[in-house]
Amino acid sequence: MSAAPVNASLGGHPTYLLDRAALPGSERLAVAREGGAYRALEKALRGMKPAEVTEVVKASGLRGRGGAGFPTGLKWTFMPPPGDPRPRYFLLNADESEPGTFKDRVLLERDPHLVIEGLALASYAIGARTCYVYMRGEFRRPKRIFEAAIAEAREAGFLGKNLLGRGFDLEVVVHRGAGAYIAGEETGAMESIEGKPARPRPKPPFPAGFGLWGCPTTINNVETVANVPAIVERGSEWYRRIGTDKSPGNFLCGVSGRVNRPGVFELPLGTRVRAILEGPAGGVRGTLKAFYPGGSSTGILPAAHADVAMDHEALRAVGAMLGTGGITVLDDTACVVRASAVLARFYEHETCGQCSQCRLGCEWMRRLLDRIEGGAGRREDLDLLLDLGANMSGGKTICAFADGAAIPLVSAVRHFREEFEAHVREGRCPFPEDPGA
Amino acid sequence: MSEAVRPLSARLSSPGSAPPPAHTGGAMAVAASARFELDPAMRAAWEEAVARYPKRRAAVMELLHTVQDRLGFVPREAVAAIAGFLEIPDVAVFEVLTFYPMYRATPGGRHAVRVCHNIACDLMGARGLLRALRARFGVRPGETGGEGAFHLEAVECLAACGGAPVVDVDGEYHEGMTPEGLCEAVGRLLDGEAR
Ligand SMILES: Cc1cc2nc3c(=O)[nH]c(=O)nc-3n(C[C@H](O)[C@H](O)[C@H](O)COP(=O)(O)O)c2cc1C
Ligand code: FES
Repeated sequence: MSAAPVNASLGGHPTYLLDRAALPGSERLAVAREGGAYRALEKALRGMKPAEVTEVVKASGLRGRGGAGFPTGLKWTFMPPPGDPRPRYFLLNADESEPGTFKDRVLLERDPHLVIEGLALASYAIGARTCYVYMRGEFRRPKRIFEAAIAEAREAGFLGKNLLGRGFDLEVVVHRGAGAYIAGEETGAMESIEGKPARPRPKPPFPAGFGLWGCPTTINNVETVANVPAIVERGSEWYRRIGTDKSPGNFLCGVSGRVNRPGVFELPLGTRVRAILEGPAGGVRGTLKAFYPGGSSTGILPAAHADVAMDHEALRAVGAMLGTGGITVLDDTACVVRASAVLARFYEHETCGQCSQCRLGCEWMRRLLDRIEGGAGRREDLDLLLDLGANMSGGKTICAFADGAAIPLVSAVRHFREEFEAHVREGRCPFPEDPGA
Repeated sequence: MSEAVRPLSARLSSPGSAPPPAHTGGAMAVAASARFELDPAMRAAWEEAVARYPKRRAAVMELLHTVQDRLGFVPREAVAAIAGFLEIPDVAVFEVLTFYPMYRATPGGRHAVRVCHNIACDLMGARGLLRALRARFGVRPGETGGEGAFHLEAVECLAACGGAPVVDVDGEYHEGMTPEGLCEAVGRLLDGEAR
């Protein structure tokens, strides 16, 4: 069970992601049904064609919550027309490994039936009869809870053969990962499910045409599908009234790091960072210095940007990204160079090694940052870091990992150059070993 | 802690003299050799895993997990057994075993203590946790302490950042960990063994 609170929203806006998560026994079917679970699935199976489900999701403007913000309904239309003879797969991405991201786990543990209903609607829309759930290997508890929920849903006729007697079959298979961040990349996940190292595939071909075992496959994030039942039940117009024009709906905002009340909060897209930190997150411990807005790969922003809105457009405008919506906060006792070095170590550990820009770039990045943080950095190292970042970015590699590794580094040097220089000048890290001390 | 990394089973015995050294993190792991028998319970689990996919090979990760859940690591002989069962070359199993960081090709400790040292946990005291374990048990990440009782690892983000700092003990997360609390928890693992 998470020590951190969930569902402390700002109030005054509709919620639909964490409503049941706070209820005791929320993982059980009876409790979930009392809270409205599977109403949308019944509505769709009884009265909507698959294409109509896709249509309402498209009209809602829902964008993927796995990091890239791709329009979900549009992605579903990329699947080949129903005449294609190959099996079709839905892949639910529950790898959740982006540093600073911890919202899918809350859904899997606290409202597994919302996730199951969402994946069933998605599978119905794209015509998949098998859904693979790629779940990171460390998620033993979420897996236990989620699989128990699958069994209950099956028993009740919401999964399995001939759902609700409407002639639609759906099996859900949980695939256990084993600790590799790159397995969360869409084609990395597919390689992994096929029983191979999770080395991302060059694209094209794209998963909709050539996914799992070369068959049409759609992949979505856990939180993405959790939005779908509300959209199907209440319609796209209702949904579009939440959030912003181009980033509609609520999102799960995980706040971690140096705040008084870290946790996962359901908020409309477009909520300002400052309002989140000062409201549900209970205020910053000490003075706000910087934050990663949506997972480490979205870059670091200085406190001066705290009024930025948490939506795709606003964050892009300041050179960052919404990513997974997980905000990690640094106060003024925390060191940006150290944070960068910690992340560089992560990326060096996780690169799959296929592309040399990424494999070597991550190692160099980690070595340079360790050297600067350790007090042995040189003035030229800063430009070397930027040069390295430029060589890793801009789509030079098979997947987006290298870009994601370079962004936190480049943004740190860009916004906090004087802090890097102070390390070089003083020959040591000027911050305490333990943040907050 | 229902899914603890279980003690090496009685069925597992190292053929040579001394057991191979624990994997210390740096060097590429060499699969430890040990007698491995595919008993009926595990065979049933393997059959069930294979049935979930259109191709046998896809079950390799689950099969590796079943072995590691039972033995704490995947011995060389299990690699061969899995390869035979899935009708793929040994190397196809071995490359999966070595690609994914959660799998171990050599014995670790009887318990696994994994301290997250990624960004949120670093900001909230992960270093203090590692310092405390070193001071109290003389163990650094990658090392085994308490005469093989526990293996300490520093791991990347566990997706529990709101509860930082986070420690995974035998597959169960402990959030909001303090140095004292962690030392007590590890102490309890050692006491449990002494009894
Ligand atoms: C290195 C890397 C790691 C990723 N990890 C995850 C992950 O853990 N979970 C996830 O949902 N998406 C992850 N993604 C994004 C997926 O590739 C994919 O875009 C996403 O699952 C699509 O779902 P969505 O459209 O619903 O957002 C990752 C991408 C990259 C490049
Ligand atoms: S950083 Fe430790 S759980 Fe995410």
